[in-house]
Amino acid sequence: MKNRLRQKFLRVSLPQAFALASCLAAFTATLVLPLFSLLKKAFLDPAGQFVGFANYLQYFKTPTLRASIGHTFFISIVTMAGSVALGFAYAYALTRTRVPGKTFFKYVALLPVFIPTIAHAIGLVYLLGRQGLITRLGLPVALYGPGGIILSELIFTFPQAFLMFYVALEFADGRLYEAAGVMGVGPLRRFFRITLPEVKFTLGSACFVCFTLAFTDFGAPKVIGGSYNVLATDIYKQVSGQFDMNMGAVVGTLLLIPAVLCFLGDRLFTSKNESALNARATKLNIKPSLARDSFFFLLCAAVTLCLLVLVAALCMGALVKFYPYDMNFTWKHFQFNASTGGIGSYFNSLKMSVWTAVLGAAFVFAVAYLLEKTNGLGFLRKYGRLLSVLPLALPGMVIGLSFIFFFNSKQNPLHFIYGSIIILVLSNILHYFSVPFLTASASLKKLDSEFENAAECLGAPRWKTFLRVSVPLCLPAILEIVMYYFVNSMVTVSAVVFLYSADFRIASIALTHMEEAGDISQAAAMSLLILGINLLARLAYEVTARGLRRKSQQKERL
Amino acid sequence: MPFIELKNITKRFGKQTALHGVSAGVAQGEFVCILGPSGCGKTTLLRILAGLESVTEGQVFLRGKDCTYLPPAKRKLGIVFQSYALFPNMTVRGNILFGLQQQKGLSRAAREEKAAEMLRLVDLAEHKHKYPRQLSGGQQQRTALARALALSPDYLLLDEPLSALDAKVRAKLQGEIRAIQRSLGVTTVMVTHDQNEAFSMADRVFVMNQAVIEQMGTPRELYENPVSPFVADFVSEWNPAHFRNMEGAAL
Repeated sequence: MKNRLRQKFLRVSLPQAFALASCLAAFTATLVLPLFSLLKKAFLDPAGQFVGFANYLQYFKTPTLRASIGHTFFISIVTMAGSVALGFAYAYALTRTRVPGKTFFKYVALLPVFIPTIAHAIGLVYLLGRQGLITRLGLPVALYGPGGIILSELIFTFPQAFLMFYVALEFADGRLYEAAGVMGVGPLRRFFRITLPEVKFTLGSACFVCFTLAFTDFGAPKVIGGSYNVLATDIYKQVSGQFDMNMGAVVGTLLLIPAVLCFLGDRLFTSKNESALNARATKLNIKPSLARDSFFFLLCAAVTLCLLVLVAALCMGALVKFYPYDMNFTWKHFQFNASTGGIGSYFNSLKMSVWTAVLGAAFVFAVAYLLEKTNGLGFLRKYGRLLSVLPLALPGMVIGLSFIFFFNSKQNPLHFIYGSIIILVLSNILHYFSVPFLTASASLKKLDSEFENAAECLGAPRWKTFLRVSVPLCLPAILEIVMYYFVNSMVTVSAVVFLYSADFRIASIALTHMEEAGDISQAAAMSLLILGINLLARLAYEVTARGLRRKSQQKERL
Repeated sequence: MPFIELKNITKRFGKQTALHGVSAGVAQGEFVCILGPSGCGKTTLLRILAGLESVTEGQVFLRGKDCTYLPPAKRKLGIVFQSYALFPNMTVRGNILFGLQQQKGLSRAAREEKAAEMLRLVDLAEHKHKYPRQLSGGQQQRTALARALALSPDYLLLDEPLSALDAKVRAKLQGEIRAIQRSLGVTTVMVTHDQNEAFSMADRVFVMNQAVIEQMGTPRELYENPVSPFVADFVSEWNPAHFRNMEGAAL
C-alpha cells in the first residue's frame, strides 16, 4: 500500500501540492462560498425563512420587474450584433487590408476601455442629450431609453470585440490564400471559405463577451436609461434603494443567465479548437485594392471620429463654465464637491488599483503556474481550471452582491474586511481574474516543460526555478496583466458599487454620485482624470514592453 | 555489482504499456546506448533512471541501494534533454552556475573555478557571456553537457542529445562526447534511434522494441549474433567498415 502511494505520488511534491491547495482554498472561500450565500438568499424571506420560489414568483408578478428581463435581452442582443459586426470589420481593416494609419486606428479603438461606462453615457448626453451639441444642430434624437443605452453599450463593447478579432485575424497563413488564388477562387469565396472559418471560435466568444457585458452593465442604463429598466439597474434599486436583499439576490441569479447559456452553448460547440496555423505558415501578402481599402478606411475613420468626438465632448464638458450657456474656459470643475467623493476618491481609486494590479498579478501568475507546471494532482488541477474561468461568466454586480451577503455576516471570520479597501481589492482581483489567467497560462505554455525537470536534476528547489526562470521569461505577460488589472480597477463600477464605504470612496463611484447630484461637469472632469491616468499606465506599459523586447532581441543577435 | 541496476521495470500509462518487465545493468564507467525506434519506451526508461517518471512495478538500484522512489535532486545525476532546456534568460556561464549555486558547501570562488573548468572542457570559454539563442546548435548542446557535468554527477543521462544537429556537427560531437566521458570516467546512458550513433559510441548497446529490451551486448556481439530478426534488421543497416575503424581507433 505504501509503495502504491509512493508510485502514484513520486512526482508530486508536497510544497507544490500545498501551495496549489491553499490557492484553491482561498479562491473557494472568496468566490464559491459567497456565490452560494447569494443563491441561498434568493430562496429566503427577509426574516430568513425558507420560502422556495416565492421571491421568484413575486418578481415575475411585478410587471415593471418582469419587463426588465425583456428589455435586458433586447439591449444585449442588439448590442451584441452591432458590436461583433463592427469589431470584426474594424479588425479586418487593420489586419487584412492596406488601410493607412493602422497604429493610430488601433489605439483610438481602445479609448473606451480607459473610461468608466458612465462616462460614455455622459459623453453621449453632451452630444445627443436635450441640450447636446448635435441635438442643437436640429437632429431629433431619442437618447434617453433603449436607443441611448444601446449606443453606449456599443461604445463599451466595441473595443472588446475588436481586440478579440484582431488577435484572431492578426496571423494568417498566406499559403492558404495563395493556393486558393491559384485555383481561381474569388475574393468573396475566399472570405467565406477561409477567413470566416478561421475566426469561427472567436466569433462565438466575442458574441458571448459582448452579450454578457451589455447584459450586466450598470453605468449606461443608470445615466441614460430614463424609465427603461434593465436588470442591472433593478438590482441596484432593490439593494441600495429599497434594501430588499432577497429580491436583489433574485435579480442577481437572473444576471447569471448568460453564464448558463454559455455553459450550454459551450457543450454544443466545443470541438477541435486547435489553431490550424503551424510553423511553416507564410506571411499573408495583401494586394492593394482601391475599392476595398477606401471602404475600410472610411469605416475606420468614421468609428475613430465618433470615439474622438465622444472624448472631446467630455473635455468640453469638463472645461467650460456652464454648458451650454457660458462657454468660457475654466478649471473649476476639477475642484470636486466633497459630498460626492471629492478628489480624495481619485487617490483612493489609484491606491486600490495599484494594490489590485500588484496582488492580482502575483496571485494570477502563481495560480496559473501551479496549474500549468505541477505534476499529478489531476483532480485539484481540474477544479482549479474551472474556478479560473468561472469569473468570466460572473457579472460584477453578482460578485459584489454575494460579497455583501457573505462578508457582512457577523459570523464570518473575515467580517473585518467589510467596508475596507481589502474587500474592494479582493472583488476586483476575482472579478477580472479570467483574462489575466488565460494570458499567464498561454505564456507559461510556451516555456519548455523540461525547464522544471532540468532545474530539479540540478538540485534547484522549485521556488527558485519559478523566480529565476519562469518569472523573468514571462515578464511581458506579467506586465500586461498588471496593466489590465490597473485599468479595469480604475473604471469598474459594477462589483464595487455595493462594497465601498463612506470612509473609502472611489472615483468611478464618485462619478455615479456626481451624475445623480447633477454635477455633470464635475463627472466629466473626473472621467478625464481617470482617462489620463489610464493612458499613462498604458504608455508606461508600452515603453517597458518595448524595452524588454529590445533586450531579448539583443540576446538573439550574434 | 552493477552501478545502475533495473529489476523488472514495468511502466503503464493508463492502458498503454511503455515498459514491460525490463531488467538491465550498467557497470561503473560504462557507456551504454539504448537504441530503438520511436515509441519503444527508451525515453521512458531514461526518465525512470532520472527519477522524473515513476515506475508501475519493479525497482531501480543505484550503487546497490534501492533508489526507486528517490527524487531526481538526490540521485546525483546529470541529464541532457533532447530540447537541451537551456534557460534562455541566462548566459552560458549562468546556465552552468545555476546548479552550482545550489551547492551550499561550495565557496563562490570554488563555483566560479568549477564553471571555468567546465567551459574549458567543452571548449566554450570564449562564448561564456552569450545567451543560448546566440549559439549554434552544437554549442547549445555542449552548454547543456557542461551544465549536466558541472555537479560532478555519479551518472550522466543523455536523451537523444544529437538529434537536432546536422550530420557533420553530429559526427564531431559524437567523438567529443565520448572523449569527455572517457576522460571523466562517468557512467553514461544515452538514448538514440540512430544505430550508427549507438554503435560508434557505446561500450554496450541495449536494443529496445515494443516496451522490452530485445538484446544487450557490445556492438560486435550484436552484429555477429543478433537474437531476433528485429535486431538483425537494425544492425544490417549499419556499415561494418565503420565498426572496424572504431575498434582500430580504440586499440
